[in-house]
Amino acid sequence: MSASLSIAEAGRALRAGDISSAALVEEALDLIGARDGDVHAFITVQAEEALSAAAEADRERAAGIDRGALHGIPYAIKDIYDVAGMSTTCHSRLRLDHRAERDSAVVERLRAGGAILLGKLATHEFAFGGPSFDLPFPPARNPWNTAHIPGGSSSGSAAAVAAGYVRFAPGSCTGGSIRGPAAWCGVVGLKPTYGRVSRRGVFPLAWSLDHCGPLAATVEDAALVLQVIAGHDPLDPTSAEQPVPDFVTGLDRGVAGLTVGVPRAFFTGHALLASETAAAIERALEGLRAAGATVRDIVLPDLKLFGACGRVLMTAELFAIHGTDLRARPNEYATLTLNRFALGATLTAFDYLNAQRLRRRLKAEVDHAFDKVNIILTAISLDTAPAFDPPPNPAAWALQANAFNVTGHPAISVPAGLSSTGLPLAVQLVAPHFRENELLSAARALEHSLTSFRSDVIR
Amino acid sequence: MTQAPAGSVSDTDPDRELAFLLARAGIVLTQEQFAAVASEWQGFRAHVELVNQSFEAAEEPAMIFDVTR
Repeated sequence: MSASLSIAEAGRALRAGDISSAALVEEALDLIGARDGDVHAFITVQAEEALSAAAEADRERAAGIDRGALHGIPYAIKDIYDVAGMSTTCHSRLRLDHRAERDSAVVERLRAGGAILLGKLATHEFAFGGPSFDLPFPPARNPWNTAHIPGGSSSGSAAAVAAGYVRFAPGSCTGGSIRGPAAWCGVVGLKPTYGRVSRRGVFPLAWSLDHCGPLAATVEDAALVLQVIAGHDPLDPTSAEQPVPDFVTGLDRGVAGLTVGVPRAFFTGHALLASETAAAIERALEGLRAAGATVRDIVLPDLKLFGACGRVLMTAELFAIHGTDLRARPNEYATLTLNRFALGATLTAFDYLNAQRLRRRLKAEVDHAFDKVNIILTAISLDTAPAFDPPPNPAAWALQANAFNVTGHPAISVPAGLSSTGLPLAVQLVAPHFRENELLSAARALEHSLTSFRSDVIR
Repeated sequence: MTQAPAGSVSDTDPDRELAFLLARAGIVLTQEQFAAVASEWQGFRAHVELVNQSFEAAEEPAMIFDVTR
Protein backbone atom coordinates (compact mmCIF):
# COMPACT_ATOMS: atom_id res chain seq x y z
CA MET A 1 0.00 0.00 0.00
CA SER A 2 1.95 2.99 -1.25
CA ALA A 3 -0.18 5.48 0.69
CA SER A 4 1.37 4.23 3.93
CA LEU A 5 4.89 5.03 2.72
CA SER A 6 6.59 7.94 4.43
CA ILE A 7 7.43 10.93 2.24
CA ALA A 8 11.07 9.86 2.16
CA GLU A 9 10.13 6.26 1.32
CA ALA A 10 7.72 7.36 -1.39
CA GLY A 11 10.38 9.70 -2.79
CA ARG A 12 12.89 6.85 -3.04
CA ALA A 13 10.30 4.60 -4.70
CA LEU A 14 9.38 7.36 -7.16
CA ARG A 15 13.00 7.98 -8.09
CA ALA A 16 13.62 4.24 -8.48
CA GLY A 17 10.61 3.96 -10.76
CA ASP A 18 8.89 1.48 -8.42
CA ILE A 19 5.76 3.64 -8.17
CA SER A 20 4.42 6.69 -9.98
CA SER A 21 2.91 9.94 -8.77
CA ALA A 22 -0.21 9.02 -10.73
CA ALA A 23 -0.52 5.80 -8.74
CA LEU A 24 -0.12 7.68 -5.44
CA VAL A 25 -2.83 10.13 -6.42
CA GLU A 26 -5.18 7.41 -7.69
CA GLU A 27 -4.78 5.47 -4.45
CA ALA A 28 -5.46 8.59 -2.39
CA LEU A 29 -8.56 9.40 -4.44
CA ASP A 30 -9.81 5.83 -3.97
CA LEU A 31 -9.37 6.11 -0.20
CA ILE A 32 -11.14 9.46 -0.11
CA GLY A 33 -13.98 8.09 -2.21
CA ALA A 34 -14.36 5.05 0.01
CA ARG A 35 -14.13 6.71 3.40
CA ASP A 36 -14.59 10.43 3.38
CA GLY A 37 -18.36 10.08 3.41
CA ASP A 38 -17.87 9.21 7.09
CA VAL A 39 -14.86 11.37 7.95
CA HIS A 40 -15.76 14.58 6.04
CA ALA A 41 -12.16 15.78 5.96
CA PHE A 42 -12.57 17.30 2.49
CA ILE A 43 -14.65 20.28 1.39
CA THR A 44 -13.40 20.09 -2.20
CA VAL A 45 -11.56 17.32 -4.06
CA GLN A 46 -9.98 18.33 -7.35
CA ALA A 47 -9.36 14.91 -8.85
CA GLU A 48 -8.76 15.88 -12.46
CA GLU A 49 -6.30 18.62 -11.61
CA ALA A 50 -4.44 16.30 -9.23
CA LEU A 51 -4.20 13.50 -11.80
CA SER A 52 -2.97 15.98 -14.39
CA ALA A 53 -0.34 17.36 -12.01
CA ALA A 54 0.74 13.83 -11.10
CA ALA A 55 1.17 12.93 -14.78
CA GLU A 56 3.28 16.06 -15.21
CA ALA A 57 5.40 15.10 -12.18
CA ASP A 58 5.95 11.65 -13.66
CA ARG A 59 6.97 13.20 -17.01
CA GLU A 60 9.37 15.58 -15.28
CA ARG A 61 10.97 12.78 -13.31
CA ALA A 62 11.38 10.70 -16.44
CA ALA A 63 13.09 13.71 -18.02
CA GLY A 64 15.53 13.94 -15.13
CA ILE A 65 13.89 16.87 -13.38
CA ASP A 66 13.82 16.46 -9.59
CA ARG A 67 12.03 19.16 -7.60
CA GLY A 68 12.99 17.69 -4.24
CA ALA A 69 11.49 15.66 -1.44
CA LEU A 70 7.86 16.54 -2.15
CA HIS A 71 7.99 16.09 -5.91
CA GLY A 72 4.99 13.98 -6.86
CA ILE A 73 3.71 13.61 -3.27
CA PRO A 74 -0.05 14.22 -2.78
CA TYR A 75 -1.28 16.60 -0.10
CA ALA A 76 -4.37 18.57 0.85
CA ILE A 77 -4.74 21.93 2.52
CA LYS A 78 -6.95 23.69 5.08
CA ASP A 79 -9.55 25.80 3.32
CA ILE A 80 -8.24 29.11 4.57
CA TYR A 81 -5.24 28.98 2.21
CA ASP A 82 -5.69 30.59 -1.20
CA VAL A 83 -5.23 28.36 -4.23
CA ALA A 84 -5.48 30.16 -7.56
CA GLY A 85 -8.84 29.47 -9.19
CA MET A 86 -10.40 27.81 -6.13
CA SER A 87 -12.71 29.15 -3.45
CA THR A 88 -11.25 29.87 -0.05
CA THR A 89 -14.45 29.26 1.87
CA CYS A 90 -13.04 29.30 5.42
CA HIS A 91 -15.87 26.77 5.95
CA SER A 92 -18.27 29.73 6.05
CA ARG A 93 -21.33 30.72 4.07
CA LEU A 94 -19.92 34.25 4.05
CA ARG A 95 -17.19 33.08 1.66
CA LEU A 96 -18.98 30.71 -0.70
CA ASP A 97 -18.63 33.12 -3.61
CA HIS A 98 -14.94 33.76 -3.06
CA ARG A 99 -12.45 32.85 -5.78
CA ALA A 100 -8.70 33.19 -5.20
CA GLU A 101 -6.74 34.89 -7.95
CA ARG A 102 -3.35 33.62 -6.88
CA ASP A 103 -1.75 31.01 -4.66
CA SER A 104 -0.92 31.61 -1.02
CA ALA A 105 2.81 31.60 -0.30
CA VAL A 106 2.71 28.06 1.13
CA VAL A 107 0.86 26.68 -1.90
CA GLU A 108 3.24 28.58 -4.16
CA ARG A 109 6.23 26.92 -2.50
CA LEU A 110 4.63 23.47 -2.49
CA ARG A 111 3.70 23.84 -6.15
CA ALA A 112 7.29 24.83 -6.99
CA GLY A 113 8.43 21.78 -5.02
CA GLY A 114 6.25 19.52 -7.13
CA ALA A 115 3.71 18.50 -4.45
CA ILE A 116 0.29 17.47 -5.80
CA LEU A 117 -2.77 19.22 -4.34
CA LEU A 118 -5.76 16.91 -3.91
CA GLY A 119 -8.16 19.54 -2.56
CA LYS A 120 -9.31 21.77 0.29
CA LEU A 121 -9.96 20.57 3.83
CA ALA A 122 -12.57 21.25 6.49
CA THR A 123 -11.87 23.70 9.28
CA HIS A 124 -13.88 25.40 11.96
CA GLU A 125 -15.53 28.54 10.60
CA PHE A 126 -12.79 31.13 10.02
CA ALA A 127 -10.41 28.77 11.87
CA PHE A 128 -12.14 29.45 15.16
CA GLY A 129 -14.24 27.52 17.66
CA GLY A 130 -16.36 24.63 16.46
CA PRO A 131 -17.39 22.04 15.67
CA SER A 132 -20.59 23.55 14.28
CA PHE A 133 -23.44 21.94 12.39
CA ASP A 134 -25.00 25.18 11.10
CA LEU A 135 -22.40 25.68 8.38
CA PRO A 136 -22.48 24.92 4.63
CA PHE A 137 -20.27 21.83 5.08
CA PRO A 138 -20.33 19.16 7.79
CA PRO A 139 -17.59 19.13 10.44
CA ALA A 140 -14.73 16.69 10.00
CA ARG A 141 -14.79 13.63 12.24
CA ASN A 142 -12.02 11.76 14.03
CA PRO A 143 -10.85 8.78 11.93
CA TRP A 144 -10.00 6.82 15.07
CA ASN A 145 -13.67 6.95 16.09
CA THR A 146 -16.04 9.05 14.03
CA ALA A 147 -18.30 9.60 17.04
CA HIS A 148 -15.51 11.83 18.36
CA ILE A 149 -14.36 15.23 17.20
CA PRO A 150 -10.95 15.54 15.54
CA GLY A 151 -10.18 18.84 17.26
CA GLY A 152 -9.71 22.05 15.41
CA SER A 153 -9.53 24.30 13.78
CA SER A 154 -7.26 22.30 11.42
CA SER A 155 -9.79 19.50 11.78
CA GLY A 156 -9.77 18.36 8.16
CA SER A 157 -5.97 18.49 8.02
CA ALA A 158 -5.60 16.18 11.03
CA ALA A 159 -8.37 13.87 9.86
CA ALA A 160 -6.95 13.61 6.33
CA VAL A 161 -3.52 12.58 7.61
CA ALA A 162 -4.92 10.23 10.25
CA ALA A 163 -7.21 8.59 7.70
CA GLY A 164 -4.22 7.92 5.46
CA TYR A 165 -5.46 10.03 2.54
CA VAL A 166 -2.28 12.10 2.54
CA ARG A 167 1.05 12.12 4.37
CA PHE A 168 0.85 15.83 5.14
CA ALA A 169 -1.63 18.68 5.20
CA PRO A 170 -0.77 22.29 6.06
CA GLY A 171 -2.88 23.78 8.84
CA SER A 172 -2.89 27.03 10.74
CA CYS A 173 -2.64 27.79 14.42
CA THR A 174 -3.79 30.84 16.38
CA GLY A 175 -4.41 29.22 19.75
CA GLY A 176 -3.55 25.56 19.20
CA SER A 177 -5.24 24.72 15.93
CA ILE A 178 -2.36 22.61 14.61
CA ARG A 179 -1.23 20.80 17.77
CA GLY A 180 -4.71 20.23 19.19
CA PRO A 181 -6.18 18.29 16.28
CA ALA A 182 -2.86 16.55 15.71
CA ALA A 183 -2.94 15.32 19.30
CA TRP A 184 -6.52 14.08 19.10
CA CYS A 185 -5.97 12.38 15.73
CA GLY A 186 -2.63 10.74 16.55
CA VAL A 187 -0.52 12.62 14.02
CA VAL A 188 2.36 15.09 14.28
CA GLY A 189 1.47 18.80 14.39
CA LEU A 190 4.20 21.43 14.06
CA LYS A 191 3.66 25.10 14.85
CA PRO A 192 6.90 26.78 13.75
CA THR A 193 8.24 30.00 15.24
CA TYR A 194 6.05 33.06 14.57
CA GLY A 195 7.19 34.45 11.24
CA ARG A 196 9.02 31.30 10.10
CA VAL A 197 6.38 30.39 7.48
CA SER A 198 4.69 33.07 5.39
CA ARG A 199 0.97 33.68 6.01
CA ARG A 200 0.50 35.51 2.72
CA GLY A 201 -2.73 34.38 1.11
CA VAL A 202 -4.03 32.72 4.29
CA PHE A 203 -7.25 34.19 5.69
CA PRO A 204 -6.28 35.67 9.08
CA LEU A 205 -7.88 34.98 12.43
CA ALA A 206 -5.57 37.16 14.53
CA TRP A 207 -2.52 38.65 12.87
CA SER A 208 -0.19 38.60 15.85
CA LEU A 209 -1.02 35.01 16.80
CA ASP A 210 -1.45 33.24 13.45
CA HIS A 211 1.09 30.61 12.43
CA CYS A 212 1.20 28.28 9.41
CA GLY A 213 2.66 24.79 9.70
CA PRO A 214 2.32 21.15 8.73
CA LEU A 215 0.34 18.27 10.14
CA ALA A 216 2.04 15.07 9.08
CA ALA A 217 2.18 11.35 9.71
CA THR A 218 5.67 11.44 11.25
CA VAL A 219 8.24 13.91 12.55
CA GLU A 220 10.43 13.30 9.51
CA ASP A 221 7.51 14.05 7.19
CA ALA A 222 6.86 17.30 9.09
CA ALA A 223 10.54 18.25 8.76
CA LEU A 224 10.53 17.60 5.03
CA VAL A 225 7.47 19.82 4.58
CA LEU A 226 8.83 22.60 6.78
CA GLN A 227 12.01 22.58 4.70
CA VAL A 228 9.96 23.52 1.65
CA ILE A 229 7.53 26.04 3.15
CA ALA A 230 9.85 27.92 5.56
CA GLY A 231 11.63 31.12 4.70
CA HIS A 232 11.36 34.87 4.50
CA ASP A 233 8.63 36.34 2.35
CA PRO A 234 9.02 40.07 1.68
CA LEU A 235 5.31 40.21 0.79
CA ASP A 236 4.26 39.12 4.29
CA PRO A 237 5.04 41.96 6.73
CA THR A 238 5.18 39.51 9.65
CA SER A 239 7.60 37.13 7.93
CA ALA A 240 10.92 36.78 9.75
CA GLU A 241 14.20 37.54 8.02
CA GLN A 242 15.92 34.48 9.43
CA PRO A 243 18.10 31.94 7.62
CA VAL A 244 16.48 28.55 7.10
CA PRO A 245 18.65 25.72 8.45
CA ASP A 246 18.60 22.12 7.27
CA PHE A 247 15.74 20.59 9.26
CA VAL A 248 16.23 17.06 7.94
CA THR A 249 19.92 16.11 7.93
CA GLY A 250 20.38 16.27 11.71
CA LEU A 251 17.04 14.79 12.57
CA ASP A 252 18.58 11.73 14.21
CA ARG A 253 21.04 13.63 16.36
CA GLY A 254 19.12 12.53 19.46
CA VAL A 255 18.78 14.20 22.83
CA ALA A 256 21.92 13.02 24.64
CA GLY A 257 23.27 15.90 26.68
CA LEU A 258 20.13 18.01 26.35
CA THR A 259 18.11 19.23 29.31
CA VAL A 260 14.35 18.90 29.13
CA GLY A 261 12.30 21.24 31.33
CA VAL A 262 8.88 20.23 32.62
CA PRO A 263 6.44 22.95 33.81
CA ARG A 264 4.47 20.53 35.95
CA ALA A 265 2.15 23.20 37.30
CA PHE A 266 0.69 23.45 33.78
CA PHE A 267 -0.96 20.05 34.12
CA THR A 268 -0.34 18.38 37.51
CA GLY A 269 -3.41 18.53 39.73
CA HIS A 270 -5.57 19.93 36.93
CA ALA A 271 -9.14 18.70 37.31
CA LEU A 272 -9.29 17.68 33.65
CA LEU A 273 -6.01 15.70 33.64
CA ALA A 274 -6.76 12.09 32.70
CA SER A 275 -4.64 9.44 34.37
CA GLU A 276 -3.72 7.99 30.99
CA THR A 277 -2.46 11.40 29.83
CA ALA A 278 -0.38 11.75 32.98
CA ALA A 279 1.05 8.29 32.36
CA ALA A 280 1.83 9.16 28.73
CA ILE A 281 3.76 12.25 29.86
CA GLU A 282 5.79 10.16 32.29
CA ARG A 283 6.48 7.56 29.57
CA ALA A 284 7.69 10.33 27.30
CA LEU A 285 10.00 11.71 29.97
CA GLU A 286 11.35 8.24 30.70
CA GLY A 287 11.98 7.74 27.01
CA LEU A 288 13.94 10.97 26.77
CA ARG A 289 15.95 10.07 29.89
CA ALA A 290 16.74 6.68 28.38
CA ALA A 291 17.93 8.47 25.24
CA GLY A 292 20.40 10.50 27.30
CA ALA A 293 18.51 13.67 28.20
CA THR A 294 18.40 15.22 31.65
CA VAL A 295 14.92 16.02 32.90
CA ARG A 296 14.21 18.79 35.43
CA ASP A 297 11.13 20.61 36.60
CA ILE A 298 10.78 24.29 35.74
CA VAL A 299 8.41 27.05 36.76
CA LEU A 300 6.60 29.16 34.19
CA PRO A 301 3.92 31.81 34.77
CA ASP A 302 0.41 30.60 35.55
CA LEU A 303 -1.11 29.02 32.46
CA LYS A 304 -4.27 31.06 33.08
CA LEU A 305 -2.32 34.23 32.26
CA PHE A 306 -1.32 32.85 28.86
CA GLY A 307 -4.91 31.84 28.21
CA ALA A 308 -6.38 35.19 29.17
CA CYS A 309 -3.73 37.10 27.25
CA GLY A 310 -4.23 35.05 24.11
CA ARG A 311 -8.00 35.31 24.24
CA VAL A 312 -8.00 39.10 24.57
CA LEU A 313 -5.49 39.50 21.75
CA MET A 314 -7.37 37.10 19.48
CA THR A 315 -10.77 38.61 20.15
CA ALA A 316 -9.60 42.16 19.55
CA GLU A 317 -7.81 41.30 16.33
CA LEU A 318 -10.56 39.10 14.89
CA PHE A 319 -13.08 41.85 15.61
CA ALA A 320 -10.98 44.25 13.56
CA ILE A 321 -11.20 41.72 10.72
CA HIS A 322 -14.87 40.77 11.07
CA GLY A 323 -16.46 43.93 12.46
CA THR A 324 -17.91 45.02 9.12
CA ASP A 325 -19.51 41.62 8.42
CA LEU A 326 -20.73 41.32 12.01
CA ARG A 327 -22.59 44.59 11.50
CA ALA A 328 -23.88 43.84 8.02
CA ARG A 329 -24.79 40.15 8.08
CA PRO A 330 -24.45 38.59 11.54
CA ASN A 331 -26.95 35.86 10.73
CA GLU A 332 -24.61 34.30 8.17
CA TYR A 333 -22.12 33.28 10.86
CA ALA A 334 -22.52 30.00 12.73
CA THR A 335 -24.08 30.55 16.14
CA LEU A 336 -20.91 29.56 17.97
CA THR A 337 -18.79 31.90 15.85
CA LEU A 338 -21.15 34.83 16.29
CA ASN A 339 -21.31 34.34 20.05
CA ARG A 340 -17.55 34.60 20.36
CA PHE A 341 -16.77 37.13 17.62
CA ALA A 342 -19.30 39.68 18.91
CA LEU A 343 -17.37 39.88 22.18
CA GLY A 344 -14.78 41.94 20.34
CA ALA A 345 -17.19 44.86 20.56
CA THR A 346 -16.67 44.94 24.33
CA LEU A 347 -12.89 45.42 24.26
CA THR A 348 -11.08 48.71 24.61
CA ALA A 349 -7.62 49.93 23.66
CA PHE A 350 -6.81 49.63 27.37
CA ASP A 351 -7.59 45.90 27.29
CA TYR A 352 -5.71 45.19 24.08
CA LEU A 353 -2.59 47.10 25.03
CA ASN A 354 -2.47 45.53 28.48
CA ALA A 355 -2.67 42.12 26.81
CA GLN A 356 0.27 43.09 24.61
CA ARG A 357 2.15 44.24 27.70
CA LEU A 358 1.40 40.96 29.46
CA ARG A 359 2.49 39.11 26.35
CA ARG A 360 5.91 40.75 26.51
CA ARG A 361 6.31 39.64 30.12
CA LEU A 362 5.19 36.06 29.40
CA LYS A 363 7.49 35.76 26.42
CA ALA A 364 10.43 36.99 28.52
CA GLU A 365 9.64 34.40 31.21
CA VAL A 366 9.63 31.55 28.69
CA ASP A 367 12.83 32.88 27.11
CA HIS A 368 14.36 32.93 30.60
CA ALA A 369 13.41 29.28 31.10
CA PHE A 370 15.36 28.46 27.96
CA ASP A 371 18.50 29.83 29.63
CA LYS A 372 18.43 26.66 31.74
CA VAL A 373 16.87 24.03 29.48
CA ASN A 374 17.05 23.16 25.79
CA ILE A 375 13.53 21.85 25.33
CA ILE A 376 10.28 22.10 27.29
CA LEU A 377 7.96 19.10 27.51
CA THR A 378 4.37 19.56 28.64
CA ALA A 379 0.87 18.35 27.94
CA ILE A 380 -0.90 19.31 24.75
CA SER A 381 -4.30 17.98 25.76
CA LEU A 382 -5.20 16.80 29.24
CA ASP A 383 -7.56 14.18 27.86
CA THR A 384 -8.49 12.41 24.64
CA ALA A 385 -10.84 13.77 21.95
CA PRO A 386 -14.37 14.50 23.22
CA ALA A 387 -17.41 12.97 21.57
CA PHE A 388 -19.76 14.96 19.35
CA ASP A 389 -22.64 13.99 21.62
CA PRO A 390 -23.26 15.73 23.94
CA PRO A 391 -22.06 18.80 22.01
CA PRO A 392 -18.62 19.68 23.32
CA ASN A 393 -17.90 23.13 24.70
CA PRO A 394 -14.64 24.37 23.14
CA ALA A 395 -14.12 26.68 26.12
CA ALA A 396 -13.83 23.63 28.37
CA TRP A 397 -11.42 21.68 26.20
CA ALA A 398 -8.37 20.57 28.05
CA LEU A 399 -5.90 21.98 25.55
CA GLN A 400 -2.68 23.65 26.62
CA ALA A 401 -1.47 24.97 23.31
CA ASN A 402 -2.15 28.67 23.21
CA ALA A 403 0.69 29.65 25.58
CA PHE A 404 3.17 29.29 22.74
CA ASN A 405 1.05 31.17 20.25
CA VAL A 406 1.21 34.08 22.67
CA THR A 407 5.00 33.82 22.95
CA GLY A 408 5.70 32.72 19.37
CA HIS A 409 7.93 29.78 20.38
CA PRO A 410 8.00 26.75 18.05
CA ALA A 411 6.06 23.79 19.42
CA ILE A 412 5.11 20.33 18.25
CA SER A 413 2.57 17.69 19.22
CA VAL A 414 3.93 14.15 19.16
CA PRO A 415 1.74 11.02 19.39
CA ALA A 416 2.25 9.15 22.68
CA GLY A 417 0.21 5.98 22.47
CA LEU A 418 -3.45 5.11 22.71
CA SER A 419 -5.89 5.35 25.59
CA SER A 420 -7.83 2.33 26.81
CA THR A 421 -10.72 3.58 24.65
CA GLY A 422 -8.55 3.49 21.54
CA LEU A 423 -8.11 7.24 21.16
CA PRO A 424 -4.72 8.93 20.66
CA LEU A 425 -2.66 10.46 23.44
CA ALA A 426 0.08 13.05 22.81
CA VAL A 427 2.66 15.29 24.41
CA GLN A 428 3.98 18.72 23.44
CA LEU A 429 7.58 19.86 23.00
CA VAL A 430 8.65 23.51 22.81
CA ALA A 431 11.97 25.08 21.77
CA PRO A 432 13.55 28.56 21.69
CA HIS A 433 12.63 30.83 18.80
CA PHE A 434 13.87 29.60 15.41
CA ARG A 435 15.31 26.36 16.85
CA GLU A 436 12.94 24.10 14.95
CA ASN A 437 15.82 21.79 14.10
CA GLU A 438 16.39 21.06 17.81
CA LEU A 439 12.65 20.75 18.34
CA LEU A 440 12.31 18.27 15.49
CA SER A 441 15.25 16.11 16.54
CA ALA A 442 13.90 15.92 20.10
CA ALA A 443 10.47 15.04 18.71
CA ARG A 444 12.06 12.38 16.53
CA ALA A 445 13.81 10.87 19.57
CA LEU A 446 10.52 10.91 21.42
CA GLU A 447 8.72 9.33 18.50
CA HIS A 448 11.24 6.49 18.48
CA SER A 449 10.84 5.90 22.18
CA LEU A 450 7.05 5.73 22.19
CA THR A 451 4.49 3.48 20.61
CA SER A 452 4.37 4.41 16.98
CA PHE A 453 1.29 4.63 14.81
CA ARG A 454 0.67 4.01 11.20
CA SER A 455 -1.54 6.62 9.63
CA ASP A 456 -3.84 4.07 8.01
CA VAL A 457 -6.14 3.98 11.00
CA ILE A 458 -9.46 3.30 9.35
CA ARG A 459 -8.46 0.60 6.89
CA MET B 1 -33.57 43.17 18.39
CA THR B 2 -31.18 44.72 20.87
CA GLN B 3 -31.46 48.45 21.31
CA ALA B 4 -28.88 50.96 22.46
CA PRO B 5 -30.06 52.02 25.92
CA ALA B 6 -30.38 55.70 26.64
CA GLY B 7 -28.20 57.32 29.26
CA SER B 8 -25.06 56.07 30.96
CA VAL B 9 -23.92 52.49 31.33
CA SER B 10 -23.94 50.85 34.71
CA ASP B 11 -21.44 48.19 35.78
CA THR B 12 -24.14 46.75 37.97
CA ASP B 13 -26.25 45.75 34.97
CA PRO B 14 -24.03 43.65 32.69
CA ASP B 15 -26.77 42.99 30.15
CA ARG B 16 -27.42 46.69 29.81
CA GLU B 17 -23.70 47.37 29.47
CA LEU B 18 -23.30 44.65 26.82
CA ALA B 19 -26.30 45.95 24.89
CA PHE B 20 -24.75 49.41 24.92
CA LEU B 21 -21.36 48.15 23.70
CA LEU B 22 -22.85 46.04 20.91
CA ALA B 23 -25.08 48.88 19.80
CA ARG B 24 -22.17 51.31 19.86
CA ALA B 25 -20.32 48.92 17.55
CA GLY B 26 -23.35 48.77 15.27
CA ILE B 27 -24.08 45.11 15.91
CA VAL B 28 -27.77 44.28 15.98
CA LEU B 29 -28.75 40.88 17.38
CA THR B 30 -31.97 39.05 18.09
CA GLN B 31 -32.85 38.53 21.74
CA GLU B 32 -31.81 34.90 21.45
CA GLN B 33 -28.44 35.83 19.94
CA PHE B 34 -27.96 38.52 22.57
CA ALA B 35 -28.61 36.04 25.37
CA ALA B 36 -26.01 33.66 23.93
CA VAL B 37 -23.41 36.43 23.63
CA ALA B 38 -24.21 37.61 27.16
CA SER B 39 -23.60 34.09 28.43
CA GLU B 40 -20.19 33.98 26.72
CA TRP B 41 -19.34 37.45 28.01
CA GLN B 42 -19.31 36.37 31.65
CA GLY B 43 -16.29 34.12 31.18
CA PHE B 44 -14.66 36.52 28.76
CA ARG B 45 -14.83 39.40 31.25
CA ALA B 46 -12.91 37.29 33.74
CA HIS B 47 -10.12 36.92 31.19
CA VAL B 48 -10.07 40.64 30.46
CA GLU B 49 -9.96 41.47 34.17
CA LEU B 50 -7.09 39.02 34.70
CA VAL B 51 -5.10 40.77 31.97
CA ASN B 52 -5.83 44.25 33.29
CA GLN B 53 -4.97 43.32 36.86
CA SER B 54 -1.46 42.31 35.82
CA PHE B 55 -0.01 45.82 35.69
CA GLU B 56 0.91 48.53 38.12
CA ALA B 57 4.03 50.11 36.66
CA ALA B 58 3.57 52.25 33.58
CA GLU B 59 7.09 51.44 32.42
CA GLU B 60 6.32 48.05 30.94
CA PRO B 61 5.72 48.62 27.24
CA ALA B 62 3.36 46.73 24.98
CA MET B 63 4.60 44.24 22.43
CA ILE B 64 2.95 44.71 19.10
CA PHE B 65 3.29 41.85 16.63
CA ASP B 66 7.02 41.39 16.72
CA VAL B 67 7.12 38.60 19.27
CA THR B 68 10.32 36.95 18.19
CA ARG B 69 12.72 39.75 17.40
